[in-house]
Amino acid sequence: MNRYERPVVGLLRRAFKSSIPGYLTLLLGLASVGLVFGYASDSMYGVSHGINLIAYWHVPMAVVGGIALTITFLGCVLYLVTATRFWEQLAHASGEIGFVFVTLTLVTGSVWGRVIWNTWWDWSDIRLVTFLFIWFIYAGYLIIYSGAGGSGSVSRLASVYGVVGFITVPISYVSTRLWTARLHSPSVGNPDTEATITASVLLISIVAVLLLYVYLLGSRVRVRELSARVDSLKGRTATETHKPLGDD
Amino acid sequence: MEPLLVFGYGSIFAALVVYVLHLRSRLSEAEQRLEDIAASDRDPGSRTGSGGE
Repeated sequence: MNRYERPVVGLLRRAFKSSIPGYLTLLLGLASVGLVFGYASDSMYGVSHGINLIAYWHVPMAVVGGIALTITFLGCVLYLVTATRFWEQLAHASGEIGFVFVTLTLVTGSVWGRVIWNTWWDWSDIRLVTFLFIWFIYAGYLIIYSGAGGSGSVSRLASVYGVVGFITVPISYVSTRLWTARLHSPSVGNPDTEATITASVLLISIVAVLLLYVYLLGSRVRVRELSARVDSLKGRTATETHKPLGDD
Repeated sequence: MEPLLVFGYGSIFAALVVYVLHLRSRLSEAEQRLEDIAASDRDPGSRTGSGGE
């Protein structure tokens, strides 16, 4: 670990050990749910229906899922450049959480589409299809990783895959601007679309999901660090117990 | 209330609760294993068990 990395890694480790994100997640999560069901508007794109309330967690899941996969990409790049194990642990932890968020985005989107578009899935919608690509790419990343078993070469292979596979993430997020989307239309900065979503509730939900991500990331990185320490200690103990027998 | 809305939020919270519980159980398991190894390091006699008798 070089002198530039050390303070950053130390800071991240301290942040991951903190219990503050957990408590803030609980607080803002409860506030978000209360506001979604008690205050937020269920009228979107000219349709007033209760199912529209799913948007207040569907959108944050998609946004924070994208952030998580971006952290995975950065972690993979840093691991390949520096070979510091912490970046690999961060990348894998963030990839796993990002995968959970992407899965939940697909499930909630499908439920929303069933009522509003009268279909669970539409293969002609570019956003849906590219988002499914992301799901498959990161399922592959996690499968490769599960076979690593602490092996450095497999970790490097998974990291290269994590870097290359990331290209699907920005493509999916800008797909509705690059190609004509049948169902999804760009809503941010698009004067032709009026989402009429309650922005304050959406913002609180995004912050709640972001804090949840930080909490989960901290827990997942700590699990990986502790497992690595246990493995190295077990290896050392095995060598020590083996030595006297060899000397005998 | 819309049943699919309940299903949507239900699946989000169920998945998150299961994932958090899974992480917490793995965290306490790793901490326990680390403690066990540290204890056996402090008391090397226990490592050999009955073989040391």
